[in-house]
Amino acid sequence: MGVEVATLTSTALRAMVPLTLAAVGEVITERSGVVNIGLEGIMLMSALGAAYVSYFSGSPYLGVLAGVAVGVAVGLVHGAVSVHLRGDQIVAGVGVNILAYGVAVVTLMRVWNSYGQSPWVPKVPRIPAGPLGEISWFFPLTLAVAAASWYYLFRTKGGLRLRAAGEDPAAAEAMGVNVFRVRFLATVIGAALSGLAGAYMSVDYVGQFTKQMTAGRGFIALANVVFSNWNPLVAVGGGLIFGFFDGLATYLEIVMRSPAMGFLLKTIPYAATLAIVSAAVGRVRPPAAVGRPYSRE
Amino acid sequence: MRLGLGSPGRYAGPLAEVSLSLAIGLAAGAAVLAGVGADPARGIYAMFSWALSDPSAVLDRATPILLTGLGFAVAARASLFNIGMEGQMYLGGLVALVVSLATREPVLPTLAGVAVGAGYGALAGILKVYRGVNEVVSTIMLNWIAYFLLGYFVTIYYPSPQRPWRSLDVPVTARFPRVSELPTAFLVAVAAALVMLYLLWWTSLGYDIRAVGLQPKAARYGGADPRRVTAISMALSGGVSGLAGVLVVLGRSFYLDSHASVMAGMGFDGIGVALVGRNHPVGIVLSSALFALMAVGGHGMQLEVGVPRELVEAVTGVVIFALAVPEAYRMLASALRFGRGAGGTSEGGG
Amino acid sequence: MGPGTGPEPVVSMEGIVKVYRDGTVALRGVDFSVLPGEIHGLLGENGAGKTTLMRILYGELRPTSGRVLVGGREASPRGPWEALESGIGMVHQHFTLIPVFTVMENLSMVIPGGSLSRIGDPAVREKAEEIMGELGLPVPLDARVEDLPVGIRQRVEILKALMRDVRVLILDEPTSVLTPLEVRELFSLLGRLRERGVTVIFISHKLREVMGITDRVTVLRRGRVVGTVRTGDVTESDLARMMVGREVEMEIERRPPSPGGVLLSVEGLWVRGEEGGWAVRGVDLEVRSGEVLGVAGVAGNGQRELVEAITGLRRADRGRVLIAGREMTNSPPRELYRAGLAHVPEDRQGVGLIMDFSVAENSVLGIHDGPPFSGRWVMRWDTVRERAAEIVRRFSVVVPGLDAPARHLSGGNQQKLIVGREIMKGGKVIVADQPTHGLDVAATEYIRRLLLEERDRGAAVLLVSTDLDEILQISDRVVVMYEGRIVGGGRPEELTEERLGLLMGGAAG
Repeated sequence: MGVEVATLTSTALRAMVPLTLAAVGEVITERSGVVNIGLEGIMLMSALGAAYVSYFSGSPYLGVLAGVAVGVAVGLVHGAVSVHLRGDQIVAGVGVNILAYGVAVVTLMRVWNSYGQSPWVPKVPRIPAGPLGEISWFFPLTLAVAAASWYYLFRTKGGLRLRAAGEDPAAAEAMGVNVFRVRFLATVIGAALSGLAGAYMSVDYVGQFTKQMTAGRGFIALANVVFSNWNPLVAVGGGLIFGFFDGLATYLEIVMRSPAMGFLLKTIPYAATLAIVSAAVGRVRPPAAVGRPYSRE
Repeated sequence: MRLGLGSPGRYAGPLAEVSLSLAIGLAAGAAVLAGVGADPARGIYAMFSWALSDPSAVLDRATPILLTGLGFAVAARASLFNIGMEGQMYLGGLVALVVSLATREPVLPTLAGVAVGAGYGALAGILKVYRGVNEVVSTIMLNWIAYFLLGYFVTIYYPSPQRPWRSLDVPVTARFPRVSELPTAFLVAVAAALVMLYLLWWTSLGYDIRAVGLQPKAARYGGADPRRVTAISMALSGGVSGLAGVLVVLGRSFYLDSHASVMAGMGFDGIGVALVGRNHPVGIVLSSALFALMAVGGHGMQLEVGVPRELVEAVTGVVIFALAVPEAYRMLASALRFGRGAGGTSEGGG
Repeated sequence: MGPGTGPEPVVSMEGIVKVYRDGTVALRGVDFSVLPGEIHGLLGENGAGKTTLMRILYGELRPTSGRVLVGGREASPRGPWEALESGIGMVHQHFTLIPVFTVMENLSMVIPGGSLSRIGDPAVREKAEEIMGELGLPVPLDARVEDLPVGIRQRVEILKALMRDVRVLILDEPTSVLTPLEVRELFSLLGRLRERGVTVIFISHKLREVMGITDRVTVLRRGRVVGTVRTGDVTESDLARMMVGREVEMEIERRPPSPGGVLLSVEGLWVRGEEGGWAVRGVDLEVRSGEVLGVAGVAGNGQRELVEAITGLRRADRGRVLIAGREMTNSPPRELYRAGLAHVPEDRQGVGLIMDFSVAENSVLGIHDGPPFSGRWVMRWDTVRERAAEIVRRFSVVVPGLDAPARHLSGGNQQKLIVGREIMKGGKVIVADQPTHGLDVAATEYIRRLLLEERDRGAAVLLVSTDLDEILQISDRVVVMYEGRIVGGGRPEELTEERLGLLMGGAAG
């Protein structure tokens, strides 16, 4: 039983990393007033970029950098569209998600001549952690990123300005905040963290790229943002809860060894997410101006 | 407005935006082809010639995405971003299959599929209305749940004895026939588009849906109940998406497999179809044909130049992304009209 | 007063032209300058371009052409941050405070400092306390702005600008949200600021205030400067003529009322506001057939919630609403309309019209669901268009066509469309909330006449307005709302402005 608890815990810890990283990034973005529902697509393309670079360079660390770079690139475009061109942020995000799937399959075919997955790629080494077996470097990194984001958002002047841009951009601008720049940067940083989450998926969590590997995690991360009430530290807790159900499904599948039940067990993380969000909403307060492009009248 | 439409001048802008977005998407696709060393002209030619040589395949392909496009549009008209057409379609298809095995005729399975799709859509609507759950998150979760439920039922309850990853076949008597080469399922989809057109612009419910979508506060003042309208339009959305699944199963594939591969992705395709069709039923009929052309032609392209047909997805993503920024075109247009200096500033009209 | 004849202007604007992207010309070549240490009034009607001009000075808008000079050097600001840098601050009509932040957080926003510097710097607090002490401007620094009353929020705004050591402070219609007492306090504060050498630009359309507080006045009309004068050299009616371009004495002939039976009655109504607290605290009202009841009061004293509760847009927690004797408390809008209610809402573009719907579609908003405009399901567009054409004809609404979206109508015509639609309902009760706010003189006069005609036809009109002139001009009876209660009232001819002012400020029982 002790072993099982340990297994379940370490599974949850591994599953929480992408859900938390992407959510923390999106908290930063949404606090500034921009919505990016393209997290799923960014994660997928970053996972691909990370796998690609790791495979051909032999260095998973370069792979991680590549994943972040992909996130930054998408963030730059989404930021330009959402902030400067006042585009429809939701539509743009959907575009990213659909684009990502196409890019993934086309690249898989061209590079590895495979329709579904890449070969195994070099992984980031793990840290031994006693009864939990070994844990990923990404776990402490995720905690650090969440803590730093919280500190920035709620304890620094920059964070104050960023939140003001998401609450009332006209007022923020009148108080001397460069709303366009703040929102643009917040979008890029948020996307970069989704990129980091994607890199984790391929060069750490799994060790290869598969075309369906994100499996809705980008959207679970969005749910986590709501659950967290736009607070990076609470998003860590949310990541653990959502990660727990993700891990639970995997774990039960292994234990029960029934492919039929497998289908039903796989619905657990999604049903749990729906249930948790249904319970959480109503007690949370989103940034007042989130998703609304700012333009001076 | 007699036609619910207005003067032709009103279409010039949107038409230009859509054309430009399609051009940007195709250019991106061509660039990818060139980038991987294939001849873009040959690839695009192969795509269209392949598709046009098999029109009934194009209509088969257009059928579900026309409906999921309508599904997206009717929700979008109420300002809801339903991206759950995929799951609503899966359940519609699954239910149609199951019921058709019992009734051995097409009508009841169709109605059942539509009803279940509508219920699944309404579920997301109700979660939004009563729990405040954003429909983007809830519908994605519901998509995955539907996906695994489909796998469960297909492999456990209705597996084909010869091929266990597949379901039993739909009885021949329950299939939508073809009249010479023309699939009747496609006619059903077009009829659904006409019904939707009528509903949105010639009924008071349509008035309310459009009012709630544009200005919920004004709609409430105008007597509409935004919560009721939200739930209804999500149900309508789910209903037509369910019909998409029904028509795939009863009209073309006649079976389901555990990965829903006969219809996977066609729910999401509806987003692009609807956006390119400007959330208007007539536009959606046309854009579904265009998307079907690209999808069917993608096979030809893959055979001819060796680039996977999923390139079409990438192109679709770029088109949608480009459609998100009409402002960019307006700026472009006004810059062209007024020359330098005008239109470049970032403030709106007072 | 040209250059060389006096002190150098602290700020001057030359040849400012502003054309909005939709083609609206807001400013047509404006020259404007202010001298150090003066209180300079910027006077004009709604739409004259006052706010646009000042937003350009503050860097929020960029002029289409023209330049801004600060201290004699060209310094057209590219954003408010640059304006603040050069010593120009602005207090907007709509406050630019972040409601969920505390006062201190709002103040720290404007203090320059690296992104990574911690908030809560004690020096900021000291400086705020110093300014508050010097100017007699008390503000609770640790309260959340959303919990503060409007008058205090305005002080926070001024304090915020002073935190940046501004030399020029622009105030946009600062008195519109204040009670008479608060206005007096504001004016004495402005006097103390002038003593400290701060230049104040005071935007207003209220002649009396401009006469009372300013040293010089610049009058704008339709995007042009009519003139700049010393306040001491002119009279109120001189300024009025400059502002309007003609002598205006708006007199609306009013027949004596002949009130009949009670058509609208409100009994002990309690309604909660946005924040959950009580916004309406036990209001009783009766409006008879053939009578206009005016509800006066400073904005934000529960009028909006009262109107919304009567018209079915907000739940009343206690009390009753009766229309023509029928209990209709918390009925949905459609049932209220069927019972004979018409509602001209305060927010015409957000609530009264659907801006992207056509004129025809908007002409039946609220009554589209049922005969004669639709059957059980199906719209009867021919009937709708007939109605739309009738409204356009009878109320002289200028429209490009019945299929044109309401967005393309001017503000006055949008309001005429709404008022026309509501009047055409032929209802027993008309609730008109700020029916002429922001309209030009002609449209204002027209709409007031229409309301009186409806009264004469036998309707019960409930007029809610923050415009005292409007209230006094067309009401048969007046009540004043203060903090959610009716605190007094009477016949307009019995009420002096002073008495009303005291009631509106909560200073009389």
